[in-house]
Amino acid sequence: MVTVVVSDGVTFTMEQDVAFQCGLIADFAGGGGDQEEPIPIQAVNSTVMRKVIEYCEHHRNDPPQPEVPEGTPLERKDRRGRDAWDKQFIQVEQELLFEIILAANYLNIKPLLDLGCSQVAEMMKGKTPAEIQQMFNIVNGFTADEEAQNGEGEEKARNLNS
Amino acid sequence: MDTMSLLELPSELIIKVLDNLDFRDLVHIQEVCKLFNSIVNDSQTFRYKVQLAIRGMEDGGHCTLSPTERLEILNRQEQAWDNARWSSEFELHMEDGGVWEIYGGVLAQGTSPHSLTFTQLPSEIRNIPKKTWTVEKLPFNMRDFTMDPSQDLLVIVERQLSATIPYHIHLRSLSTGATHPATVDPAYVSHRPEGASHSFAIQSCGDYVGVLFTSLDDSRNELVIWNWKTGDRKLAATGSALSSFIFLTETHILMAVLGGVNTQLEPRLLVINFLTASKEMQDLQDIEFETALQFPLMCAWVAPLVLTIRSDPAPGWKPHPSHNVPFHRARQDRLLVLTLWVAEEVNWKAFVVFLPSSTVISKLETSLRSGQREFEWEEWGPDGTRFVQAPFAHSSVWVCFVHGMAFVHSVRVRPGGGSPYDIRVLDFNPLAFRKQRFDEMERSTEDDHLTQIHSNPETVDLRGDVFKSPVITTLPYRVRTVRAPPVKGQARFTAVMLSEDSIVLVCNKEQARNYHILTF
Repeated sequence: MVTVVVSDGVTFTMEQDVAFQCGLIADFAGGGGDQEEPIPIQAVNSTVMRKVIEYCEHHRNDPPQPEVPEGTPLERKDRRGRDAWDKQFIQVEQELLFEIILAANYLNIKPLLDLGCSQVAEMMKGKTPAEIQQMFNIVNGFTADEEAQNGEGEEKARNLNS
Repeated sequence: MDTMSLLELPSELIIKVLDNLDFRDLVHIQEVCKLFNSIVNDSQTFRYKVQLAIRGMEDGGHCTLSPTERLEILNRQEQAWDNARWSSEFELHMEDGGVWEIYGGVLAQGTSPHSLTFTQLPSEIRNIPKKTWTVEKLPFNMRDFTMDPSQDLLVIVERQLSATIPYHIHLRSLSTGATHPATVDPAYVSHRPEGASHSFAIQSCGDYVGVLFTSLDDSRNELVIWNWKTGDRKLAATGSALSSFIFLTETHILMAVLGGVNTQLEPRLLVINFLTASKEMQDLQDIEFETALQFPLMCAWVAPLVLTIRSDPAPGWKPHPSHNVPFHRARQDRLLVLTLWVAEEVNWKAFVVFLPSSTVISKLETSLRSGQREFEWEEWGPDGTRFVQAPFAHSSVWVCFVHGMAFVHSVRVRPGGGSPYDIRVLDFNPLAFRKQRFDEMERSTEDDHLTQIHSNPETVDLRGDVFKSPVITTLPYRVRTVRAPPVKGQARFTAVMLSEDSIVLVCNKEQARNYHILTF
């Protein structure tokens, strides 16, 4: 068993095959054997950690994923991984989604990081710049000149899409 | 606790998010905010991705070059093709074996009933070496063949001496001629179609190979599709109206039917799922199809004779990993080139229909969604195709005139020039076309006579002597005119063909015939 303590002081105990999907914990715990002290995970709070553990428990029996080279066509990326359970799992509030991404990055859980990032991308697909700004509450920060240039860019996008 | 926002993610994670987007979304993303704009602009990966899409290419995946280097190679390729600057040219003697094929960057010729010679067409830009090899002493008489270099597959139809013996379709290794290691013993599939003599159209796609046996003696034509690895038959169809077929997707074929199905007389295209089809021989009239696309209505005195479909490469095709190419032709959309021969009283006429596979697939999707299976010409043709009179010297022999989204043909030029013909490349990649239109809006003064855009509607058969009403189509395309190189001696070229990195001219020179190959 492996025990971790997160930023808000909550401790979690899990079996090794669940915990070791987190590269960070696997590195920390080294060759195995039960840990005496809980492993401190300061960058993650208990709400997020609960989600992370739910993910790791579901995927504890997965065969190891082959490394997918950079620049792999999208449809192949989509084909692997994103099963129905994953899709359901990642349907969460934006804030929690970003925190899961940060946690997956920090804990080094590559499939969860990919899942989170592709979920954010999914939310952007087929949207106009204004819709994306609204969805993620982004103030664009362009000057008036740059806006005018963007107008041309918008024209370009329309041209490419039409 | 503060609420977390997207922009608070470190930029390497934002890059990871954007990595999931295609170029269309990337264009939008640039306008969302300054941060995204600079991420997309600063990233060679994203610029490469946008450029790949515009060129109708897809990343090779195996190559060790950086995105910057790949982008540079891609730009070099665009320059070379757009300015018709091939890197090298060479001649290849045309063998007397009577059978030949160009597929997957390899030109193959029969040299005898038992041997073949192969030339891998080189590419300086994509770093593919020229290579030649032979397969000899095949233990049977070869009648026809096809190949798939990406799977080291050579498919050979054996000549049969008696009309009672089934044809054997041998599954061999392209590099050695030995039986293919991925197939089961006895390394052939067999079929006995009706009739005594046949011609063959052989297509392969992934695990499947299909052979259309076209009867030369008024029997019915038969199409059989097998899984060549297991030897299992997947589909068998018979009918005299069956004119040609290709693999449309990895699960569906597109079949050209000349009429007679459900008493319709106009030619039709049928989309058939060959994985769920009956394995028993079925009459064309009983075969279950997903979608049927109807040709324009013809006048009563017109008889359709042949409708052929050509497309290259097969769905899902990608080069053998050992080539390690930086990028290759994208697998999403391919141009299907349909040639329709009709007899109008005593005259023969030929028409060519340029049909992107996406046009057919979107109708297939409509069928699967809504249950509508039959589509009149007006529902798919005018916007989704280009219907033209067959270009000058359109060949029914030298049929490798299409690759990816491009079609090539020759045009007569004014007398007095070097060669009597120019080469015209028609490019139906919609993004390339739109990009050029956009670039021209930006630099309207530069006049490039060699590249033209055709986006105006085209009208065929105004006088209505073949079709009941004029056939008007609007699919836009780009035309590049390439000045043909001077060919040695008194030779002239009679046909022009296309491969991923080459233009292949078929030359006649007194008694001898050559392939004259321009490589990019």
